[in-house]
Amino acid sequence: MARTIPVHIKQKFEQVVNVPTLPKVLSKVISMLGEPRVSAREVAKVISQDQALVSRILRIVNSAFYGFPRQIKTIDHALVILGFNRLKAAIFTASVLEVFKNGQNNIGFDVNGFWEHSIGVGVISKALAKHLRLPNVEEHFIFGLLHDVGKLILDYYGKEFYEKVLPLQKEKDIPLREAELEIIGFDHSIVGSIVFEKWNLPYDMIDVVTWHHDVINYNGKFLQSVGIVAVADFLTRLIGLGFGGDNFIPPLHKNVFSMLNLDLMTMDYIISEGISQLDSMRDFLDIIRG
Amino acid sequence: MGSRIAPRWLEEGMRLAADVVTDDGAVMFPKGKELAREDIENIRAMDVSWVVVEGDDIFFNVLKKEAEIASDEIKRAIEKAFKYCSFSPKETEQFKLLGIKYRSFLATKS
Repeated sequence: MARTIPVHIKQKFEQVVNVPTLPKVLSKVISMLGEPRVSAREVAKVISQDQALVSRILRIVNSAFYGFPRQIKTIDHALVILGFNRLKAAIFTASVLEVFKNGQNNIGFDVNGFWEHSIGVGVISKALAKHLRLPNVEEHFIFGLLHDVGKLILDYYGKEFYEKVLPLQKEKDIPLREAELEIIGFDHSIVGSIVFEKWNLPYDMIDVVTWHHDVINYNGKFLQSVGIVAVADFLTRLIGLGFGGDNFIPPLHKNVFSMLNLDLMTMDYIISEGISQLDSMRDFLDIIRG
Repeated sequence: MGSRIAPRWLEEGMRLAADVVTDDGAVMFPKGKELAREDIENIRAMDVSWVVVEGDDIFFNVLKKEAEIASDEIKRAIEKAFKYCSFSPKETEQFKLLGIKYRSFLATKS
């Protein structure tokens, strides 16, 4: 369920964010992945035109996240081993990360802390999805990994404004989101939403990015996924893993916990499950750094 | 599901609710085993992060014990972190105990 964004916000967005364009091959691949009848072979053929993309996807599929004992050497091989849906998740991740490689535009946001937090949200989202016996457990790692990507977009591609947001957050010691609203008039979830829509990323991914701070008002068809990532964000901040831009725990309505049937002991179990995977997820940080 | 506690909180007479959870996923002790001093020493020697034992009361007792010995820095950080949340005092307290448990654990890992 896309959030209806008022015209004045969209106009302001165009002034604030210099939206990065995806490389041609990536745009083509993402567009193909949205077509119901596209074959995996056709997608693999297009991907193979961009060797940097091929290399990044192979690093992701060979990471400890997937945990395959034998090395996957080609996209075709990845297709056979992972299946189309899991390969799609790897492609979307590689696509988004491609935009933030090198870090030359970063203006002082703690990017390492940000990614550590994001990986934490990813592993806890995955543990929650597994606990709830959802069919797309791995995708929830990706949802968690990318949920706050609007912050990074602002940091890299809206730096004129983020240069004012970051000092304000520090000076007033308020949540980063409050500082974003005060300076820009909208927050990173709106930024992520607009950019992911422009990039034609899948609807579930867009909804998670858009609604993770406002689950209680979401009535779309990906409620469980949006709720999972919101809870994972809450728990990751509760345990102080990484840095999400401030040291506060985001407000979360307690109905979200009951919606997912979570009590304190279950959350304890989920956190320990998540952090037991953390070491093996850290090679994602190396992939992210390019 | 049982309570996941760090091996340092194991006491004699506790009963394992599930297998010992080792970092590499190995199963070392049978479910339902009542722990003797020797078992506790063996588990501690395995250097595992968590052990699953029976009893919700153990869970809350251990959370309280963890909080008692947590560093002042962790306690201050968790107090501040809840500034914008609006849970009941009891819920807030329970979440804080959970946060302290894992912040203390992660501090030993870093």
